[in-house]
Amino acid sequence: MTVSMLLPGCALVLVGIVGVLARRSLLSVLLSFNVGVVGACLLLASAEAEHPKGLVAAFVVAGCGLWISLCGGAVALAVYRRKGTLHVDELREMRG
Amino acid sequence: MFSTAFETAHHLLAAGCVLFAVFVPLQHRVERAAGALALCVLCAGALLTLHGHVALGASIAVLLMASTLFLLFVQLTVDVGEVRSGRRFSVRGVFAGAVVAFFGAAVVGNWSPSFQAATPPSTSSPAAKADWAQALFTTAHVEVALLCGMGLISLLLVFLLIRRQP
Repeated sequence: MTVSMLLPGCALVLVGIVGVLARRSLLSVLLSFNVGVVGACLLLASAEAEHPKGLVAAFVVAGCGLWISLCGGAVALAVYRRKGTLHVDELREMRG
Repeated sequence: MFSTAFETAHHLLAAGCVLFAVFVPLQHRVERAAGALALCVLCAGALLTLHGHVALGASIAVLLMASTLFLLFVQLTVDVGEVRSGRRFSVRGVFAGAVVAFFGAAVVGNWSPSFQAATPPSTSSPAAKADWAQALFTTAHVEVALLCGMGLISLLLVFLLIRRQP
């Protein structure tokens, strides 16, 4: 395992998790999610020496990250059109 | 010489990657956060490329840069009020853009001869690394350009298929 990419990867995943949990704007949450995806790709690439499929998994993670970001952006725009806000605390209709 | 430059570049890229990533949740303006994320993604892509994962580095840079630009576009659309003036997103446009970006990167990255051959040398000698880096940068630039083109085409698809409501 490449330790030189392991540390930045862990740091990026942590920053992404903190950003997703701490921010309240839907777009900021998606941007922080992207940071976590970059960190996950770094982690998977660093594990490539022991697991040869790590690179393929990193490709899949990057593609899924792109897909989630695109759909999340489209959903954010639809939410804004309907509700007039992107603040996640004000979107309460789905809460049980 | 090459080993020292390699180490320095690695440390700089790793530090820049983490630093820009920290700025993303800290910024309250979305466009600044998107800029910091774009720089973070670039540093991560360059870091991966430096370690021999050329296809993955270029793909991450193209894919996540596309998503960052898209989110920035959404924020700008919200800011200038284009939503109320009748523009709406086509789900087909988003889907087509994502499919082109993902499969384009997968095809170019996995089946390109240059990237297939782009494995770093197993020996740790600086001369072998220098030869490998030189050969890589002279052969893989077409594929990197192809990946960037795929990302641009996917963005273009997303933007073009945003249609105006009648």
